[in-house]
Amino acid sequence: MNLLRAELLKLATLPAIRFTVIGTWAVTVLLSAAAPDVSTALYGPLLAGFLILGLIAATSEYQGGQIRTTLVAAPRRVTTYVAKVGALVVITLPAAAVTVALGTIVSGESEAKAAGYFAFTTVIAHAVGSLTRRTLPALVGLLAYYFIVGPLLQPRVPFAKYLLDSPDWFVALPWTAVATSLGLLAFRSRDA
Amino acid sequence: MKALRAELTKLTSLPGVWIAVAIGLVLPAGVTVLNASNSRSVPSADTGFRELAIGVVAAIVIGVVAISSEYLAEGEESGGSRQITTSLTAVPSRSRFLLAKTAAVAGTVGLLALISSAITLTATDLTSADVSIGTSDLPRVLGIAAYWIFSALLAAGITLVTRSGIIPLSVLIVNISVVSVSFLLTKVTRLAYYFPDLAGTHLFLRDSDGPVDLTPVAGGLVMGLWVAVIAGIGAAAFVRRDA
Repeated sequence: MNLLRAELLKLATLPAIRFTVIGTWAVTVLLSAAAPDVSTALYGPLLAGFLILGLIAATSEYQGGQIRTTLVAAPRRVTTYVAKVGALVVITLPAAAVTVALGTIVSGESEAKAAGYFAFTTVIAHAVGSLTRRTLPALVGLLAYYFIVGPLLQPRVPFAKYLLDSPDWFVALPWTAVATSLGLLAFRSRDA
Repeated sequence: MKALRAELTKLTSLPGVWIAVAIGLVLPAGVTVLNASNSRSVPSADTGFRELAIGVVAAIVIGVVAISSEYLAEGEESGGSRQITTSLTAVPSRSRFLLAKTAAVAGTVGLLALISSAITLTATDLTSADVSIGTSDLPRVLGIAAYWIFSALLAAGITLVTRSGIIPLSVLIVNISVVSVSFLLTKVTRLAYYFPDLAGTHLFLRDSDGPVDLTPVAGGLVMGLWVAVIAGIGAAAFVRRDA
């Protein structure tokens, strides 16, 4: 419980996390007003906010060696990693819920399932961040996949609906589980 | 000349730049091949060139990373120092530094655009039976190179102000996606057709689908003006602010 509280405190005191969440909400209001329907807004550019959220949560530990302090305080790697993902989910779920609610208020249509899509994507971005440990290369990869390669594959290849950018929860859940397991394994075995 | 060589060395030793080069060479050609084997995509005068417009993501990444890498804190072990301190010690004149940086970015991106165009247009010629690429398309290839260079300088100009690469990368990459923010804004106001990313496509696209039809030169001028203003703001901020 202490671990989860510590991770939550670290996330909540990162200015970048706050800016990302508030910025995402502001863009939600603008886009929901401009887009023809609410799913174009929600399943479009907004995802970038959640990718950054998950990514920064992971990579901020590695800028300036905070990870060593973390591991001195909490040497058990597996529980630490689980606490990290748990804290991220605790922050992400309300952020995603507010995003969807804002979209509903501005456009008048409701697309509640998008909140789950945001949460899954955030956790996948966190796993990618803890694998690469570097913000910009991971960000380039994630944005290029989710915004360029993914949408291009979608109408062109038959297996595209099983890829990790699928908004279907039953597809996103296993991808999230695989990504988190890879992140956990790497975090457990690699030097900090 | 030495400053330029130094900037090229820094640029070519960044992992982000090599990721970008790989994306820029593989993505447009890959999409061309994928489109050719798909029966639903109709060949037009712009086949191959639309795909090259997507490859501009490589130019954006190079433009952002060239600046943001200078400001990345190295961590507590090395006193939290940043490369920009060393760079400005070596080249104290800020305008000379910026000039060398601009030349290095523009040269790298221009070369990448030409190589990527050659690969993608060859792939187009080979895979689409209805489209043939000839020497008459040479001006459009130069248009692609100009579009990529302008985009890279735009990205670098924004990064000079933000210093962190996260915001410019996200905004600009998201804006190339299928449902781009500029495109959504065209539904609200026709002025959005004069945004740099949309106006610049007239440099090399011939089948314009919007209500605003610019000549290649006019499109290039509109985009160039955007670049001049935004890069000018970035340069002014860089010259005046503490490093």
